[in-house]
Amino acid sequence: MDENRDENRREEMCHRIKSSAQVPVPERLKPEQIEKMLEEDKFQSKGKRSRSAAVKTRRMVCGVAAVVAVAVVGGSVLRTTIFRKEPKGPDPDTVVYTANLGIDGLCQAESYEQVYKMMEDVLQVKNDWSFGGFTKGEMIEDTAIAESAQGGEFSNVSTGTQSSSQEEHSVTNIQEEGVGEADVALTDGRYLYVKSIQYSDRTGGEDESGKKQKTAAYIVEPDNETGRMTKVGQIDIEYELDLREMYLSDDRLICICTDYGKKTAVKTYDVSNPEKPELLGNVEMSGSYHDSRLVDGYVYTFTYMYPECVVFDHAMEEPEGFIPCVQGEVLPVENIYLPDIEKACNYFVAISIDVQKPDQVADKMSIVMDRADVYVSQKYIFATECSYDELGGMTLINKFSYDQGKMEPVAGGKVNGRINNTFSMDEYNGYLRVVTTTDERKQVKDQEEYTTLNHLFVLDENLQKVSSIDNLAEGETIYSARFMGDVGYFVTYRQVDPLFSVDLSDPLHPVVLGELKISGFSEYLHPYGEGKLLGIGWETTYYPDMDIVKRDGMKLSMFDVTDLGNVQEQDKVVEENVDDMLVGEDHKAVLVSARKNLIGIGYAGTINNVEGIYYVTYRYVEGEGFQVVTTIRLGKDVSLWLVRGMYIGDKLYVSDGKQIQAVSLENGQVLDTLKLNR
Amino acid sequence: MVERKQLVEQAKKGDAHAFSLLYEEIYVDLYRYAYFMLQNGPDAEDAVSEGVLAAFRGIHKLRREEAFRGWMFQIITNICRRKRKEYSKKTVPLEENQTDWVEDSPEYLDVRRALKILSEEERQIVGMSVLAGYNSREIAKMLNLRASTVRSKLSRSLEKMRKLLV
Repeated sequence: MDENRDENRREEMCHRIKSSAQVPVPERLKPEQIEKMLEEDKFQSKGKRSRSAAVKTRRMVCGVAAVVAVAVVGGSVLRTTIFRKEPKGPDPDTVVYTANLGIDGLCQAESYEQVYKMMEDVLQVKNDWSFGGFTKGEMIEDTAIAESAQGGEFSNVSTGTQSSSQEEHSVTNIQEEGVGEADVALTDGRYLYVKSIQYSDRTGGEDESGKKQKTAAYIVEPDNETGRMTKVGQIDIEYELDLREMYLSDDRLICICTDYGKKTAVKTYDVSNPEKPELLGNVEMSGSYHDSRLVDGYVYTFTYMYPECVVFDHAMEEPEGFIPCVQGEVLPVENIYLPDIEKACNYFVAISIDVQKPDQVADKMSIVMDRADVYVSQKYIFATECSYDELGGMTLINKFSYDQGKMEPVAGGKVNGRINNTFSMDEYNGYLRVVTTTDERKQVKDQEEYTTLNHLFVLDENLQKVSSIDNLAEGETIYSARFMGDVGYFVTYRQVDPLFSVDLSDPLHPVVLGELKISGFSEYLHPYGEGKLLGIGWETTYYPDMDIVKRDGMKLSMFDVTDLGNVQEQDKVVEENVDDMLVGEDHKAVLVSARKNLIGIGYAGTINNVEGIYYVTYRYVEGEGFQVVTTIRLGKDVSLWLVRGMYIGDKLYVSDGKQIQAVSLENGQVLDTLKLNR
Repeated sequence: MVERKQLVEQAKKGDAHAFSLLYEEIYVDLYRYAYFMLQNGPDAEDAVSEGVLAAFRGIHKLRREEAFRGWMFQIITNICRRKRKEYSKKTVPLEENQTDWVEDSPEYLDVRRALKILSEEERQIVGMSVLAGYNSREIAKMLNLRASTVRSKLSRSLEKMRKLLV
């Protein structure tokens, strides 16, 4: 009886959902329109097909003399100055680049018309379709978006620029030693600075429609004896903007805000009196916020701008319609760079601000390129772009030096394959090391099959390849990477997880020393004291009869890396109740300190049948493995992207955008909870 | 079935018309599924056209011709997943600002409101099951879950929604 009733209820519910979804399909998606769209695209794919054949032949040559073959290809591309790689549209000769900088791969724009022409040219054929989403074949690879990491803690202590230690406290987990990264929650050991979700309606309370949602920075003073927290100050951000991330530098809180479309603002506040934060400067630039760095007292902010009116009759009369602006002024043409390798229709925009002069822009520049990752080493900014136009994929790299706010072009180049994320790159002793994955086709009997290969490249100062290790782990994809000086590690994955260790002490002759195969895969790698490497990822089981891989739960692994040729998984823990975590996508979401012996992660999962967002902390004990210090449940409806754990002394403070909880690291007890939204 | 197989083969050779015939059979479901997942008309439109282009370019990767429908849905699922991830990065929930849900009748508004209590995964399971017509085994395979888990999650999700609607 009951079963019947339940069944009926379910049926009824399904019916209601179905009826509610009876939306009319837009004209643009009608089959005849789609056919037209594909007809136009076919023009491109035919071109691509013939090129694929060429690439394929070249690859077969590579198999015999890999290094030579690829070096020739790379070199010929990079040294071409008037460059049309392949006709992409009906009128291929509209853009001619001039090598006016005397460097490889990059030129300076000569006029706004030139920039406009290039964009128009690209847009006409490209139609702004992005080709994301499904390039990876295996389903498990789709669910776990591969990202990787090199944590901030190098051999001993992470030195985020934002640390000015009064007492032992955590710092933002950064990629590169000495290169500060912004975050949604910070501490200087005395105060906590956290992003909070607020509502703008000051008189009428909370508006559940979400429309009036806005963000603020809260300054909170914890009593580190008791864990009790007091809000001391608040910085409200106007509600057209979202507070994305913050830096703390010399009593200044730098708030980077964006409207996710046209504008990004860098607002600097004096917080020496946290009760009355004072706005010292507000710098606005075009584009949606992408990333930033703080080095030697300068904040470098990177955005992507997508020009709206490229196909536009009076473009030249209103260049602000398609040229990036900083502080309301159109960027001078000499500050715009064009890669002579690939054309694009969007801008990467970078500005620098001296924290001591926060109302001024120290330098500004822009590269015409499509969106990808930015890796910043101690000396250089590497703005990359993935191109799927060619079989296998390409990563374009534009290299700029930076010093005291000044940014100068160095070189433009490219490598085969796509990078997983910025952590797939590392600059060391003048060499850039990059690991990539290429998509390949191979002939199996009569069938053409789709597979992948992985590679490591070493590039010199001018982004010319000096060495490589090619064609590793066929059918697998790079999930994480980490370079530590002369050593590199990367994880590829399909059904099991080989952790490769590479000796890079001779940049001209990198050597794979070890390959450890274990179940599951790491999305994040972080050195954990002497001879130890922490991997955070997922445990999986492969069922050969069904050819499927099942994800069993979150996995932490501790690798013993004292002998690179014989890396061992020394300990592991698998948490089957975990459904989702962001460590692979956002390295700042993880708290790792080997010195403190503390690992903290937020996740979505179920404990005792209660679904929710939780924060778990572990310590690692030699010989015993991972031990849970504490697990706490966070607020309802919180975004994992805002979950951060910070510690001061023996107290842990976990912020989720809606509240902060103080937890004792000695006994795991929640000591206090502070609501962040009235 | 034979006919569809031929169409896939033609599409693999770059025949846009063959592809559009295959598409014609499923596009209404595809769009409604994307709409359900994203709760937003323009984004659903973008997701479908992006998916179609990706599928057309990548159709040589389709090994079993009869799997076309499932494959298209998987592509759309991944695009929606990515888009929802982008939403979650933005703290302002975009979907809230949309008002073009079906005629805004109270009944549908209720369903829409009820949807909000579902987690990301639950919404996916409901969408794949109710709108895309997958069975629990197929969903389990795509989401890396056990089929029994999918079934219990589905009935729990529907029950959660029903309670809000009573």
